[in-house]
Amino acid sequence: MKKLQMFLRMVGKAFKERKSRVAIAFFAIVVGVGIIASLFSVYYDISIKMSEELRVYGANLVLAPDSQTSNKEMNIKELNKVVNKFDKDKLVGYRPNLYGVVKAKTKGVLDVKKPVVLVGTWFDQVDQVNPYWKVEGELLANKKVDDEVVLGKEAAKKLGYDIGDTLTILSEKTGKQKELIVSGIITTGNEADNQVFVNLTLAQELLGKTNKINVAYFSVLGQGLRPKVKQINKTVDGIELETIKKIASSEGKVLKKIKSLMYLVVMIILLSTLLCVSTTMMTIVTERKEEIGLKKALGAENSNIIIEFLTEAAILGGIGGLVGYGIGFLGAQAIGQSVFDSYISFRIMVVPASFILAVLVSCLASIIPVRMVVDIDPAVVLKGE
Amino acid sequence: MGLITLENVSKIYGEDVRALDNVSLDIEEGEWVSIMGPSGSGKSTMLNLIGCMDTPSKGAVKIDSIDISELDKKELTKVRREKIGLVFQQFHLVPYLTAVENVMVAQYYHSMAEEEEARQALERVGLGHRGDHLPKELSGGEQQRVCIARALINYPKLILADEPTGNLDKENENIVLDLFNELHDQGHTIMMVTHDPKVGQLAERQINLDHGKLKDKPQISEDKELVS
Amino acid sequence: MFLRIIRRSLTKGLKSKLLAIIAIAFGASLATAMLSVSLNIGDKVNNELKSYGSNIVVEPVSESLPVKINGVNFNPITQNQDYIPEDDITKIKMIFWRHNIVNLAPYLEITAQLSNNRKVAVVGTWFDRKTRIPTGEKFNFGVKYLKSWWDIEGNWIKNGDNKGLALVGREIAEASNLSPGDELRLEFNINNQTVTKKIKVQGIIDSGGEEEGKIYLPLNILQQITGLEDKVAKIEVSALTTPVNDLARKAQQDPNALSDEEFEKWYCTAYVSSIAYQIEEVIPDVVAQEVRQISQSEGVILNKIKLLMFLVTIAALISSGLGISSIMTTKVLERRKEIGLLKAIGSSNWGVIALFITEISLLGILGGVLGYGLGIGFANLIGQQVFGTAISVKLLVMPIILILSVVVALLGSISPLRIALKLEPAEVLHG
Repeated sequence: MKKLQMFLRMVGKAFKERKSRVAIAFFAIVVGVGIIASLFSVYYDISIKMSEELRVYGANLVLAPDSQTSNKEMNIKELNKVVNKFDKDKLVGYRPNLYGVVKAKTKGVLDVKKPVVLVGTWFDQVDQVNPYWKVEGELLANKKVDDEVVLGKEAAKKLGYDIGDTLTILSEKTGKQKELIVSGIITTGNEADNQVFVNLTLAQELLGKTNKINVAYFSVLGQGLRPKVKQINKTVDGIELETIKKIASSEGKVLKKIKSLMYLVVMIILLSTLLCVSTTMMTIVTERKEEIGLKKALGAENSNIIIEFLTEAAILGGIGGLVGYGIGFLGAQAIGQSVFDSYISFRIMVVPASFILAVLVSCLASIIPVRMVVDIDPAVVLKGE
Repeated sequence: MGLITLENVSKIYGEDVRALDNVSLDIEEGEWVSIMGPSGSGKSTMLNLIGCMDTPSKGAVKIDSIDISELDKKELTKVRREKIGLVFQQFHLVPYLTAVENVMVAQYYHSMAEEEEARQALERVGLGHRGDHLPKELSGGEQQRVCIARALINYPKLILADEPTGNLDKENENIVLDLFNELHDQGHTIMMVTHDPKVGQLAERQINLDHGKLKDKPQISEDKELVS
Repeated sequence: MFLRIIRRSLTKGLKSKLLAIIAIAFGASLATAMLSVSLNIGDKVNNELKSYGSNIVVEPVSESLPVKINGVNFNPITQNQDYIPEDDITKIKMIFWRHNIVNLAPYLEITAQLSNNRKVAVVGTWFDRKTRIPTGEKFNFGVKYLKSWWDIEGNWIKNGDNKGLALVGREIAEASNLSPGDELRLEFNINNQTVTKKIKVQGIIDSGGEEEGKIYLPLNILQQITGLEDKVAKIEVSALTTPVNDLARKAQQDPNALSDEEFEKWYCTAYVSSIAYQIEEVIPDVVAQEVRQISQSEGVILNKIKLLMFLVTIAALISSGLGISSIMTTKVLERRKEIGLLKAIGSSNWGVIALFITEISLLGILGGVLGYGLGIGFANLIGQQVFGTAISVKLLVMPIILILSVVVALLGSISPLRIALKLEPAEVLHG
């Protein structure tokens, strides 16, 4: 017991009385581990976070009636069936569309009716499915509204309407006519700019296609959608769910590159930081040559010296590693908040990893110089300066 | 057979640098011997050999009947630990340990760390009341006395001192030399390396080295009684 | 004498300083690698994002409103369609931002009928066509590059001029039971006359997009069939752009509302709106529009990645800064005795400071140069592994790294130097 007590006393005092040296080494370990821990935390989340960010491109799945169906229509019930197959937290949004051709009057010109494409849809999830739409005015948030219309930019321009105007559309198929107030104009840069949008129910009524839709777009999180899509196609009849390759495969490619980039960057930072911490600790140990020589002169074996230094290093590394992890985790949150506006998840694995890393580096960095000195004759160390 | 025996000992570096050249001598138990000579005479080399910090190139060095010439580092350390107490010119105390702890360090590597015993050792050198001070809080003389206490703690056969008063002022030098006298009276074997003839003459016997060789036959100093 | 001391300290004392140089070199290499990658990342990721397809669409100015659902024309009245002369296409590769034009493809679309009376959209385009622009340079343009996500069962069409080959959308292929190698009959109604053309299916397109309902022919074949030689109805362009900011948004509303200075700045920045504007400048009577799904989204993503890399670079700089300064701190502390000695033999504080500053600056430069070289190596490793291309070395980085290395090394030395100078020589020498 007495021997252990003395051992602990020596190790403890080595910390207490050499405060400035210990502080430098401790600081180096804390900051080094902190940076490594924070970057690793970010790295582990990067796929999920970037995947969420890439939803800014909009829909990556499209639902349509299967190729057997000739009239390209499906019942809205099918949509609900498919929606229920997705996990709520993975389904970012979905939007059904019903298309038809109607006639609209050009503003101010009596009785000139031009054919336009009418799209019946739901506007509540446009932010999720088509976040890139530029909206002037307002979309129809309420699905029940049946007296308002949203125009594509080109449609508005060429028909001559602006927000607040009243537009009459006539469906030749059902003979129904409706007056609608223009509540919003959208700019997309694609076909939608030429189209006229109303609530789905109204379109179904005007086109005489109750409960029918032509297509639905989904924005879904996650990689590896193919097996999920395959499974849904097997279990729900009459429809076909497809990945919009333009979005989905590009997302895959981009994510892969970003992950690869982060990995390499983190590895290089890891290597560099470890080396910096190691060289700092090596220098500190080299300073204690005299002490090592003295102890050997007093009869210490090489193993005694090595164990003493290893214990000091392990304690320094252990505490430094834990504190470093704490700071690193906070740093990761700072990065997460500024770039992704969200929290980086706590991965239990990083804690012991940081701890072990710090202890290992600390021990290795101490042992290498100690091993170099420990075999020297004490006489050399004690006589020389 | 003496406590320490050197039989035709040589220490050769490189081709022909002879730090010690065919030296033979005996030191009996209880003797106080001083090794003297100018710089480069081989004093340090002899000290290192007898202190089990080095082995001879030729010849045999026997400490308490053990021939250390053939021992490996680990065995050398063992002999040093058990038989020799070292006192250095530069003191060499662990700067972050107190006086009593510095003495305990020597105990620790030997057997057990007994604080009571360490304090007693400090008492014997007149520093019982300074045990909890750090080396930087002690005067040169006090530090050296701590070293002596440390050297004694494991009941060594030989006290080996390298210029023990080299870094001390006159007053502290006298205190330390008085201590050595006391130890000699108590029967300890002391070997002291020094370049200062006044200090050297305090010993019973002076061994003079010059260029690695013994300069003259070991003689008993006639002036011993006068100097004390 | 001063120089002598410096020289000695560097030649004889180099071994002990080696550790310091190594630490400085590693710190500098990390900083170099991160800075180089950060400065390049925008371009590299921008290039990757081009796999999402075209971000600008060029169409003739038209009064009429197209009535198309999934490309099939539902307008019974054949209106006078406007076209873009095919010769004008290459002018796009001549605008101010020509180096940002990554690829393009023209389209001419017409509704035809299959043998089962099913109406289908037939598109004439370039697949993978070596095109010569007025400067004499040649580029490979076509949908093969624009639509990288098309999954082709069968083969692509290379330099398809005059070949009666087609890529058929999956939906059409399934409905008509077509496989690569099959022959297909298309019926066109040109000027109230039925024109039939037999084409061979070269490949089937699987994309999950509207292409699956269309048939793609070489442009000049369709031009011949329809009598619309040298005419195209639409051009899709994929350009490298700078993410939008307030200036870009203001310009988008109305370029004429910008002040002269603002206009110059906007024109000379590769915003999607300024590239579109420049296309409208070189081709008369067209409207060039951004495809918001691509152009807006890539801006968002690019900005996020740049921000992420910026923060990571800061972390790296902190790490290397601390590594360098902590080793300098220990190295200077270790030389307390030397400092005490210098003072004991009569040097003034400033004399010691001057000596150390010179030594440390030299160490910093040495380590910095080594680190820079190593760092460029790391940066290129990243570039090659991730993007398959080299990192372009910006000359700016080298002086920055050298200055930073020296400054950080000096900063790390200040504290210990001050402590060491305060000590009395006697204290230090007898310790």
